[in-house]
Parts: sequence; structure tokens; C-alpha cells
Amino acid sequence: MKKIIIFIIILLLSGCYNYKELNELAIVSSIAIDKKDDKYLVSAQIMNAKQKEDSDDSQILVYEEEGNTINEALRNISTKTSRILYEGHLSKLVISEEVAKEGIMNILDMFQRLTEIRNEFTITIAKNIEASKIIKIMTSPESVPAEYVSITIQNADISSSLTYSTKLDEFISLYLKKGIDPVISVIEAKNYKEKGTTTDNISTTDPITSIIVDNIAITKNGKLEDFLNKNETIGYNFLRNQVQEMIIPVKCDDKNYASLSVLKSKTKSNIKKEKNQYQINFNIKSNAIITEYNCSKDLTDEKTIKELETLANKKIKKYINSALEKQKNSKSKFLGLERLIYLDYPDYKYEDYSVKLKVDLQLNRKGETRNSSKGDKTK
Amino acid sequence: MDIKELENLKVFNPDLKIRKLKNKKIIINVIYFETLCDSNIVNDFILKPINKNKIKSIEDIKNKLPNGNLKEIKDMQTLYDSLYSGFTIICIDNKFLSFETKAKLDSGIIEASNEKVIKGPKDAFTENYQTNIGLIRKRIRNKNLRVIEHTIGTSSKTKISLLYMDNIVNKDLVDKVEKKLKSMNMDYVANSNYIFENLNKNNYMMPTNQTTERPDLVSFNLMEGRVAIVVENTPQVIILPTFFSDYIKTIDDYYQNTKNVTITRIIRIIALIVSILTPGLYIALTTFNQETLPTSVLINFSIQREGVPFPSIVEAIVMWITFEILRESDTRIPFVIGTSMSIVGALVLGQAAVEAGIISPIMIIVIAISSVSSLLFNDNDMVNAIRIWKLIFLLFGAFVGLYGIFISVLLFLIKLCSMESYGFDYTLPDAPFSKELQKNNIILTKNFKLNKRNHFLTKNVNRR
Repeated sequence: MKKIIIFIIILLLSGCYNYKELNELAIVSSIAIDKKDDKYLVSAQIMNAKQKEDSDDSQILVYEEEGNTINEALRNISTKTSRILYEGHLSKLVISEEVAKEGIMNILDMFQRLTEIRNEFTITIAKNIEASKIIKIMTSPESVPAEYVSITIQNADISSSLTYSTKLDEFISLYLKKGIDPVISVIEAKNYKEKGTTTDNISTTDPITSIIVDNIAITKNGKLEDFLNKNETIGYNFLRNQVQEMIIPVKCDDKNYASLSVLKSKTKSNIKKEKNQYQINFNIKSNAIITEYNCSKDLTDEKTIKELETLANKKIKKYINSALEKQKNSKSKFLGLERLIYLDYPDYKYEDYSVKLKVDLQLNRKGETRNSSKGDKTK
Repeated sequence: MDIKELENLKVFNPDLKIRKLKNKKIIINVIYFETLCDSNIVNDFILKPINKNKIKSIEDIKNKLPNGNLKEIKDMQTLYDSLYSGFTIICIDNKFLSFETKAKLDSGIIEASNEKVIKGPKDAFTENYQTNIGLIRKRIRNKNLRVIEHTIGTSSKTKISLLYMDNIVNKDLVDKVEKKLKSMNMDYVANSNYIFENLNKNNYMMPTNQTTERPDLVSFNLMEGRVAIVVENTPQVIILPTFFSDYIKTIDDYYQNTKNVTITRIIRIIALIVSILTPGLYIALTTFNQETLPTSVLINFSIQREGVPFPSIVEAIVMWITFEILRESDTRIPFVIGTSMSIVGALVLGQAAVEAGIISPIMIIVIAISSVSSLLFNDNDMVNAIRIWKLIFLLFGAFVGLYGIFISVLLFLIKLCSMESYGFDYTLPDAPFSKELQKNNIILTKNFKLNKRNHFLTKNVNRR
């Protein structure tokens, strides 16, 4: 009997610390940060979970509030809603260009410090639009825009290498490293209108306003430096060994194109030091298949395949060179070339270096048809 | 071949009857098991004709006794075999004859209703003590099967017998149990439960013995080196000792293809974990550690909890008590009303509670899956033990969250490991670990099933 009483007392002594019921929570899915005068303007997107039957209501709610710090602004938001703001499931942080130029590290501290928040949400920069506007846009089929954006960025990263999704922990670890600067994915709003923030936007086949995933932004000392275009982004992904899958379009004769789909790619690098000149050798090995071929050359001929391979190699080199060109003209060390040298030669002091590329793409398969129908006809 | 050998046998087999009849100058020995033979047949067709006729030699018996199945016995082995099969042996001047006098042990034996199997025998123990021992003897026809009879209960004088295989069993275990049985002091034995509660010094939550209504399970366990206790007027026979791992095994496993058994056992282990853990874990995750759930799951749960007025713990306890009431009423009410009552209880009550918004649908799923999983174990003591642990997990989860779940898992394991089953560790064969016995733990190998025994219980004779 004594044991049971002690058992119950011990349980009751905990006082249900940190107890919250699910229906008392306002689950924050994304936070947008803008600058207004000298203060931060913080918008929190809250999931408005309702039973499926009455889904005419909006699936999200956005509250805005100002504050000198992010946390203060969030506390101010809690005066506007009956529920407790719960940031544990934050999946996206949108930073406006203005705030990003001023310094991203200023705002990330709270997200690192709070125990509830995961370190794995994506950081994005809103280009050409206020961050608070972009999180108000309704999306479909993912009813929660934060989820929509995270999934879209991830897909663009994995299947086409057109962006790179940076999570909080990766951003900070790259920021702390010597000789490399982190990058951030960029989102834009296409044709932004007030109507895009209503349910009208998801009840049509052609959404009025949509969120699109752009390429990446580069930073310097935790501040936004510049944006990369498509080719530079692909080049960046190749050099950082981040290509998983992508499509390379090549011109196989005067008019027509072929698509090569990269399924596997590996980038290895090594450093050579001759006198005071450092040389970085990149060795890129890719496997690809032909997914589209609109020319009339004979695909069963090995020469045609070899030709395609050289064309693809040239194209990859072009991507990478555009990224290298950007690196030369920029202060940001987004490619991390200095870091590669630093890892092998810790006494390196930012002297001159050159880059040498070796690209080797191999075509393994041709898909379902062996030759092209056009090629068969001319035979 | 000597009649005296049989008289020695009588010490361990009190149901063995040796009658010495004097007819003229010769002594006719009539030997039979009263548990196996029909006494009417013995009286009418053996004892009566012997009395009426003049018998001078074994030849006279052959000629004058009416019996279709009559054999001359030349060696001791066939003598034992026929004796244990329900034959009556007649012995004159160390010459042996056997007559078939089998009792119809099957009649009046009903189908096992609480422990069902798909393949395998369907007979069950009855309230008749003799029949119960007969049902076991029918399966083990061997002189090594020892039946030690005790009488317990100063008023009830209930017959209790301890059964074991002399050549297999661990003698220490038998001594221990027998000592306890002898020192038992009660005036009335209501059920076999009174015996094993008295055998156990410690009051554990988990059962350390199994009560069964299946004679095949008892004889299987006797051959494994365990001890069985048959109590008069009780259709449940006690098997001891049992270990925690025994509750994930059923006798059905040994009647099926060994490869398929593994999957069933894994499912039983999952069911055990699910039944103990789910309500506590669900409450801990949704009220304290929401960050551990995937976002989509969290949204789904929070949609379901929308509008429910009670805290999750109240919801869970209400549902749990409702289920227990339904279960209890289902065992008490007659079969005919039973089905209609469970429809009202389960379907109507559950559906209505959700629609009224008192209980969230997910809570019904959680309590239902956990309760149904616990019913997988056919030992009622185990089901009740699981029920108590479920409640402990639930309280810890509801007051301290995931941290509480870890504490209660530790508590559960500590309790389990500190248990002892009649001198053996309760967590055998996992702690102490036995590599050999893993072949009959989660997996069951054909080789083990056909050739091996639990060597903890049998010491030297672990080969079949």
C-alpha cells in the first residue's frame, strides 16, 4: 500500500510540466521575416486544422506582428490567437531580400536556441517580393503552403539539381567553416495578386498566383551576396558533388535535341601544389541514359553514342565553367574551393589557384526503344 | 517376468490394481489400471467368469473367458505396453495373458472451449479426476510417467496428483514442489488456483505457471521436463514452471510447419508490445512530445481531437474502463445475449461516442488495438498482468511524457528480470542467454522441434 501511495505521489509531483493538448496548439508551419522601419516584421503561418467535411475554410492562417527580436514578435502574435504558438513543426523560414542583405545570422539565433524547434527546416529567400506575402499564397495539392514549398524545393534539388535545399543545421555548419560560404534556396511568387491568398486560388485549374522555386542565392559572412542563374546552379551542384538526378539537353544535329538523364554522378577532387601554384583537379563521373532522341542518326552505332557523350561532357563543362566564372567575380566563397585546398594544406593563405576539370559521362541505356524510329526509317 | 516387478510399479501408480483371486488351489492375479479400464467390463467379463468357473491352469482362462482381444505375453515390455493401453493382465504362475478392457475415456469429454487450436486434438479435461489422468496416460504410455498422489484439504480431502516423467524431469524441482504440497494446510481446495497460489511464495504480477484444459499441452510439457498437477474436480491442470517466453508460444505452433511459426511468434511479440505500450505512448507523444511526430501525423491527430472536451488521459481511461466492462460482461452473460450485447457495446457505443464528440476516433483505435492485442494470449493471468502494466504505462506517459515511458519500460524490465519461477530465472532463455534455446524462442527450427528439449529443465537428457 505504501508503495502505491509513493508511486502516485511521485507522479503527481511532476505537475504535468510542459503538458499541452493537441487541440490547444497553433502549429506554426512557416515563419516569414521582413524589415519594417527598424523592427522586424514577423509573420507566422499557422495550420488551421479542420475536419475534412467543412474544408471550405482556409487551411492556413497568417498573423503578422512587429518586434525588435523575432521572439518578441512571436509573443506579440500570441495575443492575436486563442491558442499557444507551437514552433516544433516549423518546416520553412522565409527571409526577405532586405533582411538577408543585412545579415541572416542575426535572426537564426532564436531558432538554434529554442529546444522545441527542429534544426531541419529549410531556409529560403523571397526574391522580388515581401516574405510575408509569399507565405499567404494558397497552394494545391499540398494544402499547407509550407509543406508545398519544402516538397517542391526538395524535388527540384533531387530530380533536376536546379536548386539546393539548405537546412538550418547545414547552413550554420557551413557558415562556421573556413573557406566556404553557405547557399540558400530562393522562392518567388509568380503573378502575385491579393486573390492568390484566398481559397479561389486553389479552386481553379490554373492558379492565379503560385509559388515557384528559383535557383540559389549565395552568401558572404552570413549576408546575402547575389543570386545564381540556372547554369551556375547546376555547375555549383556538380562541383559540390550534390547532383543526384538531372536532365542534360544536347543538340544532336543542326535543329534537333536529345535529352540525357543523369542517374548517378560523383565528383572527386584532389589538390596539387607546384611551387606556389595550387591546382584543384575535379574528376566528375556520371552515368546517364537517353530519355529522348529526336535526330535521325543511327543509335545502334557506337560512334553516335560517343558523340552524344562528348556533347554532354562539353555541356557539363559549360555549366561548371559558368559557376567558376561567377566565383571569380564574387567575394562569396560559395564553391568552397579554398576549403578544399585548406583541408590538404592548412598553411594555405589565399594565394592563386587554378582549376582543372575532367568530365566523364557514360551512357548506359537507351530506354525502351533501341534505335530511334526516325533513324530506322532512314536506314 | 515376475509379478513382483508390477507390485513395485504400484508405488508410483496408485491407480494400478492388482487383485489376487483364489480359485481352487491356484492364485489368479488380475492386474489393471482403474483409470484406463472400464470397471464394468473387468467385473462382468473377467472377475465373474473366474468366480463361476473352475480354473486349474492358464489354458482354462484362455478357453473360458469371453474376450475378442486376448494375447499371451512373453516379455516385460509388451506387458507394460498393453497395461498402459488399458488391457487387463491375468497372471497365473508367472504366465501372463492380456484382455482388452479399455474404458471409454472419450465419452463425456467436451471440446476445449477456452484454448482453441486450428490443427490438433480438440479434447479437454473434465471435472473427473480419473478421466483427466487417463487422458494424459493415453498420450504417454510409459512406466516413467510418475503419478504421486496427495490428499489436501482437511474437510474436502481433495485428491491431488503430481505428474512428471521420471527419466526427464529435474529432481530438485520435483522435491521442491512435493515438499510444498506436503506442507500445504487448508480445509478446502476450491480450484487448482488454490494449489498454485500456495506453491508460490512471491506475489508476482506475471504468472509463473500455466493452467490449461488441454491434455495434449500437459503431456507435451511433461515430455519437456515440466511438472503437472492434476486437482480433483478441476478441469484445469497446472503446468509448472513456466517462463515469460512460454507465453508467446502455443501448443498449436508444434502442430504446424516450423517455418510459418516464426511469423506467428513475431506477431505475438508485436501484439504484446502494442498492447502494453500504445495507450501510454500515444498520450505521451500527443500531450508532451509533439515534436517527435511527423507533421502530417500531428495535423491528423489534432483534427481528430478538435472539439473533444476532456484531456487525453481522461478520454483514455474512460475508453479503457468501457472496454473492460464490455469484456467482463461478455464472459458473464449467456452466449445467446452475448452477441447482441457486444454489438450494442462495441459498435453503437463507440460510434455514438465519436459522433457526439466526447471521444476522438483515434483514441478508440488506440484503446481497441491495445485491448485486442492483449487478448492474443490465451492464459487469462497473462492478459490480466498486461492490463495492469498497460495502466502503469498510461499513467507514467500522461504525467511525465516520453520520459515516463522510458521509466516504465525500465520498471517493467527490472520487474521481469527479478522474477523467479520455481528456482528458474523467469526470463529464460534470454537472460541467462542460451544460444541453443534460441532455436525455440522467436524462431522454431525443425531440428530443435524434433530432437531437442529445454536443457535448463532436463539437465542431461536434452536429446529426444
